[in-house]
Amino acid sequence: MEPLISLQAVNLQRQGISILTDVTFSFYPDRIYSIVGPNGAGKTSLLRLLALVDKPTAGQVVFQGTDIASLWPAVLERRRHIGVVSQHPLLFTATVTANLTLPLTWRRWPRLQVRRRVRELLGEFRLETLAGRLASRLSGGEAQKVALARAVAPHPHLLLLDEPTASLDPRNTLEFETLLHELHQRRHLTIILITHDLGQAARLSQELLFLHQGRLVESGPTSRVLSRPEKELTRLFLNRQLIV
Amino acid sequence: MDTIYQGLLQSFRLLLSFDPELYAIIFRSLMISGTAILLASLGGISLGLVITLRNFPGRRLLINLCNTCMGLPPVVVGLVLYLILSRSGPLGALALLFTPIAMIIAQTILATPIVAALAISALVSVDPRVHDTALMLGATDRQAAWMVVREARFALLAAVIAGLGRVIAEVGAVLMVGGNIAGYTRVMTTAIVLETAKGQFSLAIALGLVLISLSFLINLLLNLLQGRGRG
Repeated sequence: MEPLISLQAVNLQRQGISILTDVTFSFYPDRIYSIVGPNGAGKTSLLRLLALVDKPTAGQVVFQGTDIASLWPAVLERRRHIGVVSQHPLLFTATVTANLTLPLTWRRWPRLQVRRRVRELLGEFRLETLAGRLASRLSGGEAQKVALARAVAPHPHLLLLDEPTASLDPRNTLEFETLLHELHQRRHLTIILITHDLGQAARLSQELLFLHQGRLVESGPTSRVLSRPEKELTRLFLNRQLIV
Repeated sequence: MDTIYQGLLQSFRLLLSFDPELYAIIFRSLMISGTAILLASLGGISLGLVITLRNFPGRRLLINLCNTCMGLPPVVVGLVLYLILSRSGPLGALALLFTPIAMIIAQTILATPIVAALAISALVSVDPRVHDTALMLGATDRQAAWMVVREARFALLAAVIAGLGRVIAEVGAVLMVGGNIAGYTRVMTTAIVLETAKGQFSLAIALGLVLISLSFLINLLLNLLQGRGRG
């Protein structure tokens, strides 16, 4: 099977500082990946490359068989197949419904189809009672659900999540994980999740990537990496003994 | 004392009897200043957007220029425009001097830096993630820029209203390039100057009352909007 998105010898530098070094990895369709690693490991920078909003300094990002560098900066059409949810998602100053509608109208969906899809999303993410509420009046858990619904509204092939539950309480975290799991069952999309919660990585993902100081140290099936890490750095990280 | 009393009484009579001359002047003022503020808003907000979203050489200089020009003396604008539009000036062939168009140009020049400077401060205070988030959600550059404008909508409207407040009360520039021609380029402020000089206070007082009421209304609206922007 062909990978959905792959990184080939990717390097990223900002103002002469190396953020990512020689990262090579392929993400396949219909799988859930977690990326773990200490703060400053380059996880968010990696996610921005995968979201096609930043360009690597060297190396290739290949999405659906096309080298993104060859398209740059005309990557909008490709980017439109990717959904992103960040740790503190920004909802626009408007109602929940309007927030869900925007990504669809930007893609010029017909009005009737937009209305049907928004109604479907409100149901799937259990947001019916909040449809007319202003985004600024939502709780953290509600806002994160809206952000997830908004990201998947246009049926992306790839969903990127940057510590989506880091600021949620345990109950909301569980609800978010359940929604994510249901979503994956329903739509079979590829999910890449940055998390600091190893339990969450174990619950949700099939594959785990461990990033340290901009390098991909180890990757493999989540349960295997968590129970029998091959690299000393990974073992130290999992035992919470890693000193950055 | 008697002059003031008589003038006030007469001015109310003019206002309440819908004196055609008085209301023509008010209407002309609103048309000229309204057109000017529309043009200034288009220019000022676009400039604000470019300055906020793009990084280019001379960007800081442009911001400074906008701030400096916020207090542009109207008579200086009037003088420069007069020289440019007068028959022997570079644009003399257009015969625009002493026309409402010249007045609109003058007021647009006065209002644009105000709208631009206030628009910049409104737009830079929008969370930078708005633009980023919109792009990540599949917006085009233009759609993402529109989201930034949308987030700043109350503050931007306040910028436009502040500009309107400035031009509608301004007299120096419109007097110089408009010429205060009765029934053609005579607006509220220039009529007040003329009528006062003639010693005919009733029309001047009536226009003064309208002008102050308008300023009050504009400020009321401004306060209301600033309150909503914070909410």
